[in-house]
Amino acid sequence: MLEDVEREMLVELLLDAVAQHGRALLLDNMPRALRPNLQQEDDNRILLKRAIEICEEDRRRVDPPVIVTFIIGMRNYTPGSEHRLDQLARRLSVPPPAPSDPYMDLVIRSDIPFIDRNPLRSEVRRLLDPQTPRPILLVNGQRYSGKSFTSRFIDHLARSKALARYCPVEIYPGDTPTMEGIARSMLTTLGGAPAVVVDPMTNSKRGPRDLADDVWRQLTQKNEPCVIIIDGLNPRSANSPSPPQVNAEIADFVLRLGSLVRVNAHIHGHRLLLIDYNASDIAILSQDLRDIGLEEVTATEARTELERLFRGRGRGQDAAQLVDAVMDGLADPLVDLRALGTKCGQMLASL
Amino acid sequence: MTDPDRPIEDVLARFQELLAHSEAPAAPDDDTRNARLAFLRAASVLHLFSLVDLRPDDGRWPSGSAARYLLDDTVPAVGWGAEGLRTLGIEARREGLAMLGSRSAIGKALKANPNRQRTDVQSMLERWAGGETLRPAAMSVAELRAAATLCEWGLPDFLPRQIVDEFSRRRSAVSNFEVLAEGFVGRTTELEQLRKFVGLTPSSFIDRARDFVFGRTVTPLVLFGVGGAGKTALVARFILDFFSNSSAGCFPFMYLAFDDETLDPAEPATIIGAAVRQIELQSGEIEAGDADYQGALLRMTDQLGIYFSTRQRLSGSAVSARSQRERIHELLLLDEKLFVTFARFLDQWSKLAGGRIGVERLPILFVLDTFEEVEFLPDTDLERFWELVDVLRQVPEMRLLIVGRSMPNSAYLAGRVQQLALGDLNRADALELLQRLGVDQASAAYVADHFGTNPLTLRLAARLLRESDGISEIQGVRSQHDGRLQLGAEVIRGQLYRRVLDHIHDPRIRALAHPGMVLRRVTAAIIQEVLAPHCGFGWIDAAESEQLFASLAREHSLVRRDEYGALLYREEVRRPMLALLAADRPDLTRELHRAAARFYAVGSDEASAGEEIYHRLMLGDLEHRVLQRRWTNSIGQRLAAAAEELPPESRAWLASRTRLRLSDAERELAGAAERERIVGHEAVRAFRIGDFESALNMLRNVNPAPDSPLAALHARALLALGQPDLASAVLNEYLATFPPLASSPRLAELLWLAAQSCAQRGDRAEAARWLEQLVPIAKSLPSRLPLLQTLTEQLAILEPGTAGPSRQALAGLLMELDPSETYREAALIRLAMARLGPSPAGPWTRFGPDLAYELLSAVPSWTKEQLAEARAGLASALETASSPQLEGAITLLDPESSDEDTAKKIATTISMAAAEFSHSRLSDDVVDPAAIQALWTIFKAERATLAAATLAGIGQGEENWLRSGSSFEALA
Repeated sequence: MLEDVEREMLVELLLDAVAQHGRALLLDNMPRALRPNLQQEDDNRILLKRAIEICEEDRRRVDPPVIVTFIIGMRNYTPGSEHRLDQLARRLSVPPPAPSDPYMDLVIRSDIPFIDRNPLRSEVRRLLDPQTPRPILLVNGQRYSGKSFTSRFIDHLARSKALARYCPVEIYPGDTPTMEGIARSMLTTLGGAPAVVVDPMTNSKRGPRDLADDVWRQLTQKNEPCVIIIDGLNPRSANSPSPPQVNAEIADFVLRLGSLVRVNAHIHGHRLLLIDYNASDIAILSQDLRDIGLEEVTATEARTELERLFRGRGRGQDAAQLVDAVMDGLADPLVDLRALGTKCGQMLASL
Repeated sequence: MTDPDRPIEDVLARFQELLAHSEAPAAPDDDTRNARLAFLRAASVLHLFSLVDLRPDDGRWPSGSAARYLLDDTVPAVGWGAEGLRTLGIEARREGLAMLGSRSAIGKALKANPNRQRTDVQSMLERWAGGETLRPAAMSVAELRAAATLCEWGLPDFLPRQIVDEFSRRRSAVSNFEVLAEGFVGRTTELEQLRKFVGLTPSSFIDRARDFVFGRTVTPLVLFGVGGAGKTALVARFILDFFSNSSAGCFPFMYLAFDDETLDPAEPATIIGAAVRQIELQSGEIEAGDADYQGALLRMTDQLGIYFSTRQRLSGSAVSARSQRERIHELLLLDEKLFVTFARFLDQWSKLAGGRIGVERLPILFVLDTFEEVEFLPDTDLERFWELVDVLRQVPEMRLLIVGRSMPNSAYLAGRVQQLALGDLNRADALELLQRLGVDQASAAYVADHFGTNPLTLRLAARLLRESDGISEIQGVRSQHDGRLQLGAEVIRGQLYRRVLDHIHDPRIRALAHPGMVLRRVTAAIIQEVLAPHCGFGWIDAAESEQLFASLAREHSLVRRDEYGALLYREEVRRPMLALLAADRPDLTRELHRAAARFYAVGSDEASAGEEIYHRLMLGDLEHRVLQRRWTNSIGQRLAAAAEELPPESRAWLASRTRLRLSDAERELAGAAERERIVGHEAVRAFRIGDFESALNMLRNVNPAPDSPLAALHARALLALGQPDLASAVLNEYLATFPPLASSPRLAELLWLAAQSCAQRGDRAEAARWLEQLVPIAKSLPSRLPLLQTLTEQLAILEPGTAGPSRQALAGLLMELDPSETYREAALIRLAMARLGPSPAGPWTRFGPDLAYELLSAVPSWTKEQLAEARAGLASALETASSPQLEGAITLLDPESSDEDTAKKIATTISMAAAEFSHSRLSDDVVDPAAIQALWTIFKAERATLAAATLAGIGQGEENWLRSGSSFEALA
């Protein structure tokens, strides 16, 4: 399955080809059985997104998966982007992990290891328990400590049916988020109208409250618990590598959303997960939140987990060698979990 | 595909190939490089763009191909996913702009993409590129934020970041006041009084802030006046006047209003949390660069974190405190430490602000607005708040400004505050206000003479004049009041509002507002089933009611939406209208209340329950069974604002469920059950503040029935006061007369306390007998926690030779316990397992890791002795470890480490031991016994006891009123 970011990347890479060749190109690269599902659309972006969605949703479990054959077929029409599409197709070819206890899975996508992090797993399990007394979770930690893996872990849980739905907002470095943008993103994900209007005469206390209420209304349209995730607003701290992205309005908006989650936790079961967020901006809700700071992972811990991972893939005999190859050149403790993730993914793709 | 039989050499070769490929992707050729640069230059002048529509700044590459070259340089823009808009990462942005180099080149580059997304940032960039001189002093908050983004981009010769930040900080701090102070006139005397209070001389206000008249400790000022007098507008104007003078040094200020639902005056930590957040958001580069301030801020935020996490711990049944008094003492110390840390932080802030203009300190203005909300609370709820005020008064140059509708009726404030009463405007100011609102001179004079000079009334009259053809209509209002000019401003406003409503074009919308405003909340279904039949529409179908609902929603001056999409009438309009409706059309008003109560009676959601209760209370229908069945604590919040509307008996009922202050006369109107609840609330609050003597007196006076929750509170007050003999005596009496069919949780609690009082007297045998009696009662309760707590305590009370059955029962119980119960009472479960010991392994496998992880955050606050015990115990446990990882962990436990290091290493060791459980679970191995030993050691080192506890898990079976508020430690 594609991640949201990958899906967006795929759309960007293929959009020009669709603009030039039209719906016929998409149909050509889809299995015959699925073609009737792709209706004509005026907007190429929507058409392409729908085609990808159809390929992803295919339940026939063919090998390689339909989405992979689709990407491979489309690559010939995207000169200059073949390398990236190949990488994506390769990743999607790795079979997903066998179903087990999704909270304990070591691989949370077909190639992304989620090693150690047992306290985080425990906190997320606690967060999602319908009887939890604390419906808000705050996850902080140093740069590249794997905080954002929490979002992927939630995504993994959703795919494993351990939770009904989630609504992620990820702010990337370079973006300049606004309260309206964050609300719009949530409304779009939740299936509402993305139009967000704040009355300019509304005072700056009322505006965030009204917008959070708009999001809440959309959230409660469906009678299914939802985890709202906001990732990347960056805490204000001296050692934070990125500038804080929170202004007073955003902070008030998040606080109001947190208050609604808190007050209605036992009715709707919605949860709020804040990743990389200033603890004091939400301190007022402390009685209803738990926070966790991610510590660095030692090489010993990583090795133990990787060995388990490779054993689980039928490589009991040579797991140690595979681990050596992955860990080669990595620091101890691991300061950048992305590097470990990349190498581990490559090893899984090589098995 | 994964192939487990693939030779290792092949796997490693493939891995190396992939690795090499990702580390050194093929170098782009010249064409690709040039294409990227052409797209990058074009994109660098666009805040947001769609890759497929992006045109390069020369024509060599076709538009539509940008994704191929530029994708990695872009990130999705939050909120614009549906439109496929992206933005450049910061490094790429700077690279692109650096290539363009100059303002004119940037201006030219804009032309490549004429269809630009209009955002604040884009507009600001284009204004600058177009040659406009940007003036931060004249920018709105949104414009200043856009300018700050452009500073990040590194535009050549753009505004200096420091200046933009400084203006942005100042502007953000006061932007909210701009709306509040709109149309403000006059009040020169009051403004002068505020200036004197803060310490500004008239000259310094105009010229420089260095002429502050420093006062060190200045008595708090209470600004009070009726609703609509313009109190908040006055404060807003005062602050704006000062901040608009950019040459003056800014005095630091905080503004909190108690109508904010996140603020609870009974728990001042919420006030401190909100204030610190406000200060942090106001901080700029100067604060960031000041080590002393940053140190104070760090201490402050750390202390807040410690405060809340310690309170979470103290709210559990099992704590290290040996008595309730000790538990509350710890809480009070925690309060005190937080207050003092806050005071020191404010002082540091004041010094930093002073340093900017060369004085030692600047005054700090701390505004606490809407204080009437605080006044609703009983005195026991406010003791901590006044304690905080006392501490804040010691902060040099602190200026505490309390703003409310009346002079607070608090004994604390008597003789300790200055007062500033805000009356109506003087005639000249009233005329000026009316003229600013577009009223001609003659009409203005008429309005001022006949309706008084309350600013809110004047605004309403002005609106009516604007919407009508002349003064005749307003004279009509006046004629109804001939000879009754003494009528309150609210009634006059009600009349004016009624006239304003008459101008709503659609008569049916008019009717929805009047008499529909008897209701607080409107939905399409309510229009169809409640309002239409009573407002003369007859039967209407769902489509028509939806249409009416949509039309009403457009009347923004009348309604706003709540979080569920229903429309709420605005309080300032509804309140005066309601008074009029009740007086003029009492029958219709009652009928609407009845119909609404019937409508809401079938709704299962909380809003329905709250509104049903509201309408019943308005009718004085105190049918206890119905009200009690529908009540939840959060409904209390929904109804608090309506307390003033309720008849006295209903107010007394509401007070018994919430924390509403009652007059003696209202208290007399309360029934016996209500009075008991009111005393219960006050006694629990007295526990919270450590005033056990007062609690005892209150409880003695009501002479509680044995099956009342007050009976247990009575015994607990005696135990907390160190009188276990007396506690045993009253408990014996309560238990002897306990009604046979009364509440089991109540009985269980009394039995538990009887055991506790015997244990405190040193009579273990008697304590054991009470616990034995408790076991079958605890078994019958819905939660497993009471039984678990009883069995756990039996292991401590019974002689080891006789504890076998309890041990066995406890081990069995742990195996069937719902995991969610561990979330509420983690320390209790740990204590149970600590007393149970490392065998059997079942409970450890089930709960050990999660409970251990939960404990990690507490380890840094352990005492030296606890750390030593944990370290030694872990070292001993790990000596026998068979798993390689645990064997390695022993090296972490170096006895020479500092306390901080030891705590960290112990936490790491706990994690490693806990991880062992996960590993064995996944590989179906038996857990290394050393891991169980390690966790057992740690759980013992927590040193929890149940000596200060009441019985856990009985809340589910009892009335929930006792658990309202946040005095969890007092109830634990």
